Amino acid sequence: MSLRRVRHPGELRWETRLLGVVTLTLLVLGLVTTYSATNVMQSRGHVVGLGFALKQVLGAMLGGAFLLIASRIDYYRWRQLAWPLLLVTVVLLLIPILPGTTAIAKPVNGARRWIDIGPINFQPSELARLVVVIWCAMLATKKGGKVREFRRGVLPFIVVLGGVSLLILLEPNLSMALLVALLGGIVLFAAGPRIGHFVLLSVVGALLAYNRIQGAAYRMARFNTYRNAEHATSDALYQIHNSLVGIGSGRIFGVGFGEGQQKLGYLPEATSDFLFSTIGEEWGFLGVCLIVGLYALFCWLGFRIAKTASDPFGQYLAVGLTATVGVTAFMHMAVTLGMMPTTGLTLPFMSYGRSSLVISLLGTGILINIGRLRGRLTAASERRKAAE
Amino acid sequence: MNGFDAYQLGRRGTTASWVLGGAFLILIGAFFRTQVLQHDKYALQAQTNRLRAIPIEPPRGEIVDRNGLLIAENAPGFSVKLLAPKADSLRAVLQRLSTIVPLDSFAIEESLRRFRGAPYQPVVVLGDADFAAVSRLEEHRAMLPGLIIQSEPKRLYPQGRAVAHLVGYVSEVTESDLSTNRFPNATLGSLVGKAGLEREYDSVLRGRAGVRYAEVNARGRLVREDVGSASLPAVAGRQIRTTIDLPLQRYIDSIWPAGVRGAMIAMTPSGEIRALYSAPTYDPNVFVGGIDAANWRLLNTDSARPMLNRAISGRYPPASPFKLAIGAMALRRGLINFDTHMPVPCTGVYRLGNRGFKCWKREGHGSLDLTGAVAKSCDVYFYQLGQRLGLEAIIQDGVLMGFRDRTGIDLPSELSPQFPANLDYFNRLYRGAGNWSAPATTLNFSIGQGENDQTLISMIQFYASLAGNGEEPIPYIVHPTGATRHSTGLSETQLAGMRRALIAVVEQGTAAASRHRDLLVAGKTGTAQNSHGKDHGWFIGFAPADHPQLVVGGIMEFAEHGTIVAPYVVNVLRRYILGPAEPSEPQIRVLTDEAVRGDSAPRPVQLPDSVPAARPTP
Repeated sequence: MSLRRVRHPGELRWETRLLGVVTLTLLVLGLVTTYSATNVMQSRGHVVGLGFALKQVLGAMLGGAFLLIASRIDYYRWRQLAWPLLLVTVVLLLIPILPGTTAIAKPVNGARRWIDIGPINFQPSELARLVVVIWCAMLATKKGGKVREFRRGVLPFIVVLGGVSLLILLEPNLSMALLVALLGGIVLFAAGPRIGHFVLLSVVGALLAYNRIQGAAYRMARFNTYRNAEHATSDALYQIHNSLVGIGSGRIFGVGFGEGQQKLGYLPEATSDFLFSTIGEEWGFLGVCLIVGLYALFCWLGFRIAKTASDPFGQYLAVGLTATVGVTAFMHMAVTLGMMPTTGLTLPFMSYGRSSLVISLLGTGILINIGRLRGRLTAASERRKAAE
Repeated sequence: MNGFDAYQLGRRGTTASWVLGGAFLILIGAFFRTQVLQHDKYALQAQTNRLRAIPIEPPRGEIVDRNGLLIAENAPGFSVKLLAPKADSLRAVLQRLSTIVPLDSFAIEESLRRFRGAPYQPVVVLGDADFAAVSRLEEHRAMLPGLIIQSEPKRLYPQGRAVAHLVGYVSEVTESDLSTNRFPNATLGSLVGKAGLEREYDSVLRGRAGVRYAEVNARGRLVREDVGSASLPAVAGRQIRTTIDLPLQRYIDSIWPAGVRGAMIAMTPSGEIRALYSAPTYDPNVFVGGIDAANWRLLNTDSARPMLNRAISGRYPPASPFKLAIGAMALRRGLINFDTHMPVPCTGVYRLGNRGFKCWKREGHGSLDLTGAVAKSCDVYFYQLGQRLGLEAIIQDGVLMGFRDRTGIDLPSELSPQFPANLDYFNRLYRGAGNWSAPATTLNFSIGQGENDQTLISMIQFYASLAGNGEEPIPYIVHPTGATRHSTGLSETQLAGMRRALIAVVEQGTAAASRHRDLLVAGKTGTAQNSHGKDHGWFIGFAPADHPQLVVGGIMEFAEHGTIVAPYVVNVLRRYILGPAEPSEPQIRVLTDEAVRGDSAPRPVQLPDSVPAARPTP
């Protein structure tokens, strides 16, 4: 008993195709917004706009290539690659933390999150986001029914997820650490451990996170901004306040594409962490509905693919990859509204930032592949059958 | 199989979908609230991000006297303001500015303090800059980013010190004023009246500030100074016409002896204030554009207290002028008439038990009727009159005649007189009925001493009722304010008798030296015993005595006797009624060096040199 329904491959095409269309739409809208938000930005007296946009186009092309390749590689390969990928990720995560590596991992805004080797310049934690999902899906598949036990089922997940999160936390990058742990948890949840274990873990995780939040002063300031907006100092409020001002001045139709005022220096990170505020300002409530709708559609398609994937690994992987996009987008939007602490998460496919873009597109490629291989007698399912 | 079925995944997937769908719906709801419902609020804030409101001060309404002469007007002036993104850059600009125009470190700190209070508003650096300073600043505009020079109407008091206590002064509204909402519609930076008429009629005079907008970039740097759209013109304040006679007010200031503290009020019997003067005075023009710290300290630490309006906020024992009130009480109660003699003739001292209460005249006045007793200000007569009335009646009638209440003059700082409400007051004051002597207190009250302190305006009000129809008018400068009206309760004939007695004071009594053939003046001298030093001198009079047009009262601290004050008051009356032709200066000298034998004053009649000079008037 494997699948609820077995359909003809042709029947399932529309989901993957629509997923591709949604992704492309978001990507194009993102490029346009990045251009509009950065073409007026100045750095040391020079307009930097086009440079930013071109870099982002390069990222999109690279990510697009990854997407195409990944959609044609049997996703079963990722299962085999899970452990090596995890090891590579851990090593990459270690580089910025270790002393003596400032040459290739310079601190930016007080945190060392980037590795910079010549032309390659990327954020290992973005990679970790994808790898953790693959690895969890792999382990959950391997454990099978044992995930319902604690020591042999859930504990290994905790050890590895905790370790990776800790490394990201040390950069420091609290929001990404939380996101990685959350995504791992979601994949685990899909694999069906006891709800009790899960609740317990969530509580422990929340407590640990709170403890860490208190540890860092700047995080505390951000956290307090959210918890207690009226009493926060104006400095801590500044970003959220200007984000809300931007969104609020958008009304239904927005102030018009490219007409936003907040990106003119009032709103820091208007193209990355607070991109959605720019969208809200320029495109208004209708634009917001459109984008939110596109992400919701993406998630709906992703979950459909997960439900109908041809094996548990595909199911778990699809759930994790979909959640990566959905949860990140949700958190980003919630942050721009001041509903969540300011975390510094980008909007998948749209925000400026090539690491995030490439990884998101790669993940989508894998998701498309899972969708494509449903119901087909593939090498993967043959192998699985053989194993049984 | 692995013990986990697809249907479970399906169920969890459905759950996850619902959760995600719900989350996105909440998000949509939140965006709707922010973008559509709260749009106006945020759109406004987006505007304020880009635009800085620069208030335009309206010209303040003029204050004119009854003939349209200017008491307070506006002169063209300049204000220098700075618009800065951060305190640090403001400090840098201020440092540069201080090399161009004089600006001490205190002023710089003050500007920074204001900036921290309202960072989006231009900081006033110089409230009242002259043309030369403005020209120098314009020349160096390039090195002073955020410089805003505005032409602003400035308050000007052409008569300065002569009208200070009458008009008061204007100054920038403070944060505590704003938090207590003392000045409705005032905003930070508004100029408001802080004393006198400026304070009382602030809402009429102030007008409404306009606003224009300057555009700034994201770093708060000034980009464009005048954004044409959405500017609001200032609405000028309205003029107020007063009952003041400015030449008379100036005349009082010109004759007031230098270094003497005190006050003088001129009022018509119907309550129109013609002049109100308090000494020492100050120059209200120093407050325009912000008073500097040294001047402020000087005004506030001066022991002569030049900021105190002695005409309405100074309380003095009413002394002999109060004897008229005692007489009026006895008359209205029908205890005496004008021919009544007291049982004990004045021998210079009145015995009560084993204590002797002196009359001011050691040789005594002999037996007098009421008219004579008023004319000679005989203490012994009034001791006995007071005893006949009783302390309770004195207090009852005093309260009825308004000696306990503010007059209700339309000036902000009037103090109510101190007068007991009833006999219990003494029991409370001396902690028990046994600790004070009612008969002795009665005698003290009969001659206007004791626990009775009156303001000049309160006594003027009483004398105005004697000059008029017995009703006490509410004094006013612009409009009478609603205060309780009091009455002496005397009949027409009794009032006429009172006026005859007051004429006798000037014609042959204590103020005989102030007598003039061409104007019949009625009035009463007084010497208020002062435990802190030399006695205070009172004189309150009105003229023409048969048909009073003006009541004038004066008090001079440490003047020792009312006869010192009398000639000043009489000259003011003469000036008002007879016009300015009469030479006044020698008149006073004649009066002051001739010993006024009719009254007590065995002391040499001259103004005490020992009075601490508040601020030598040139």
